[in-house]
Amino acid sequence: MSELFRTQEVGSLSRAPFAKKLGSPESAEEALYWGKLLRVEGHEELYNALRSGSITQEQLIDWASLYGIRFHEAAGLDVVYDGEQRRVEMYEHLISRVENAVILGRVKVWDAETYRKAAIVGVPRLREHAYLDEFLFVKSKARREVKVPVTGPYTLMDWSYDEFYIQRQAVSLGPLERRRRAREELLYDLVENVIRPELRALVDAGARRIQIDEPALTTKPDEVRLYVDAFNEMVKGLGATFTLHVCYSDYSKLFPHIAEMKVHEFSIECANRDTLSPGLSEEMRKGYSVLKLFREHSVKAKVAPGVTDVHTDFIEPPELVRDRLLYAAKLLDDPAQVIACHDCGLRTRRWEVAFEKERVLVKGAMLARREFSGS
Amino acid sequence: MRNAVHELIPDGRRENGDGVFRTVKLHGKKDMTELVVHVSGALPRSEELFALRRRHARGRATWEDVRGAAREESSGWVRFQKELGFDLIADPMLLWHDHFRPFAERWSGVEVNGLARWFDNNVFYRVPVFKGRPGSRGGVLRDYLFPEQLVGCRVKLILPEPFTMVALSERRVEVDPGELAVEVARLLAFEVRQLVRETGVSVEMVQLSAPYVVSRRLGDREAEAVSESVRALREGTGTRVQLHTFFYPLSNASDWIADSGADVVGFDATVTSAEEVLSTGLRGEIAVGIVDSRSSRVERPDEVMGLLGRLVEAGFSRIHLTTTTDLDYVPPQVARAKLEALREIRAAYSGRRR
Repeated sequence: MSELFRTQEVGSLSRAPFAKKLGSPESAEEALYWGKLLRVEGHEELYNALRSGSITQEQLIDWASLYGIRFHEAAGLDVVYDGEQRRVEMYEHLISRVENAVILGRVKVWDAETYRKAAIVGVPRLREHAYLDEFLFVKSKARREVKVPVTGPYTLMDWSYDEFYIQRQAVSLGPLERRRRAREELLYDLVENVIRPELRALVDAGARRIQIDEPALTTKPDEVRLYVDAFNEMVKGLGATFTLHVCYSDYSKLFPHIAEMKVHEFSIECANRDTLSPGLSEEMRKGYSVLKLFREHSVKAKVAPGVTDVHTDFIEPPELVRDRLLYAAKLLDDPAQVIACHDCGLRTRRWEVAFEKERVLVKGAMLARREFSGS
Repeated sequence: MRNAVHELIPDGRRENGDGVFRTVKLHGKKDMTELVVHVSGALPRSEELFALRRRHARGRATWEDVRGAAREESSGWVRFQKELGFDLIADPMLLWHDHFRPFAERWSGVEVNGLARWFDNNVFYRVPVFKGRPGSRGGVLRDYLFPEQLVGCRVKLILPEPFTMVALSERRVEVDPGELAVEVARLLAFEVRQLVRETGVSVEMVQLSAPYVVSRRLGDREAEAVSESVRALREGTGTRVQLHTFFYPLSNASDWIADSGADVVGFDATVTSAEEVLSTGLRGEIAVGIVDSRSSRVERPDEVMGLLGRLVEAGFSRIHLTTTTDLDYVPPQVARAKLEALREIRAAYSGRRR
């Protein structure tokens, strides 16, 4: 593994092209094309199965997972996963396995984008593992180090309705205090009954890198302190390297509290707010100014600032990736504190685009390393 | 100039120094209070309509396809409000992606930009960008609502509160935000007048959705801009105005809200207590966001009787029972149950009074 500017994915890829086009003649051709490009062992077998229509859903998902792993490996990443090929959506994948969480239907997130939202109607408990089988499959196939993404408890709470905890609070407390107490209780129950059992199972099965995804974390800034305490409780005694991924957020809301978080790495989105011009000036690298806060607050954890924008098809030149990494190293005053990754999962990009973005990530990190090796 | 809170308290009550009116005896005015019911925001779209809009965004469906499907769903929501006996009927706004979009897309001098979080929700809106002074040739409400379904009804129109819109926008034009808000208010009034003139819709009340004005304590000039926008809407449309706040406590606007000039002020009962409402000095009419738009749990009448009772005792002449905000935070079947709950709450309270 690279010493400086380790490269890693953030999570999701779009569904494998052969699975997306299942049922059409192009499906088998996609399997062949990507199988050769990614050097997926046995891809001819998949090609034949797709052509003859003799493939089960379970087999299809296993193949998609394998292609996802090889996708990252072929691009040259140091830390890989399977592009979350078994998951429908990060929230629903987990909440649908939680007892006393009832999915009520789709609600808007923006424009016509929706998700299926659940109501918490009792004390939540993990009914079945959401990530364990997936991780075991990845572990058995991966040739690089593995990092498993897990949806975090705060996002589970914030994206769900609460029909239970609020009712347990006395009306006399007043509306705001009732809600505060309800959310605190719900968060800690999710930590204790849902996330910790999942993390414990993953660690026992050999997971050494776990990413907690919390896109909702800055939604209610006055709850960041609560989350830091809950997070520390959540990872207590678990022998793994934890990454906290927070994206498309006002990161200033995390401070000063996250300096006290027992986390090894922060993964944040920066490229989306940056310019596309290479260079190391503050003006060119305005997307990375948030890193000053990490230094000001003496955050000891490593930081993985996104150096490729996952919401555009623009392929960043490797020199731009390099400069973003070098600038991050400058702001943090330590290149060893910087990890190279994308802003977020590449789920919204076609595989052709996503693959190019992975390759420039690796090339850019290599160029940045040269600045420190003198070669 | 704003009035001090104690000057605005009805019935000669006086503040005791800590915001609680212990020495005041409230007069029972139950018989004088009228309860009216209506919704205070958009209603949810079906999964099918969401899917159709996504297909439209990808060029796989026409705008007419979208309008046709939305018209049918809209008709169902309008009918449902009538069946429930709502006093004012609102268009469910199924073509509105967010509060600002129709205006940001159609007005000259304004464009839409990237996504931003809608307060403390897992919901995002496209940021309007004021590149110049805004202008309009009208027709926005006609095109984004289904006015033919509202003809013959007592209608409530739901619009963005101008200062909220300006504050949540990007301004690339050199103009004071308050001044810009008043310009927005005048344009909104123009849109309302044109809708009425072209379609014959009878608008009884305009709601200005105003979460920003309670999200923090506004400065004097900001509060004045809100009030001036309200006046511009009232005078420009000749209709009553409901300044509807939500997500944050009404107490954040306690020093100016009673002077806002609105005929009705709305508050979010999930974050605002009766004491906070009374301490603002509001009197006359009040809109109680008593059904929580962001929760799937359907309110029971007995849970809200206490709050209603206190407001009636305080002497409000008319209490509007309504939703905290848009009901598209919940799926359609939950929204229906919540609208039914509004009817049940009124029925239960009326029954108790008898």
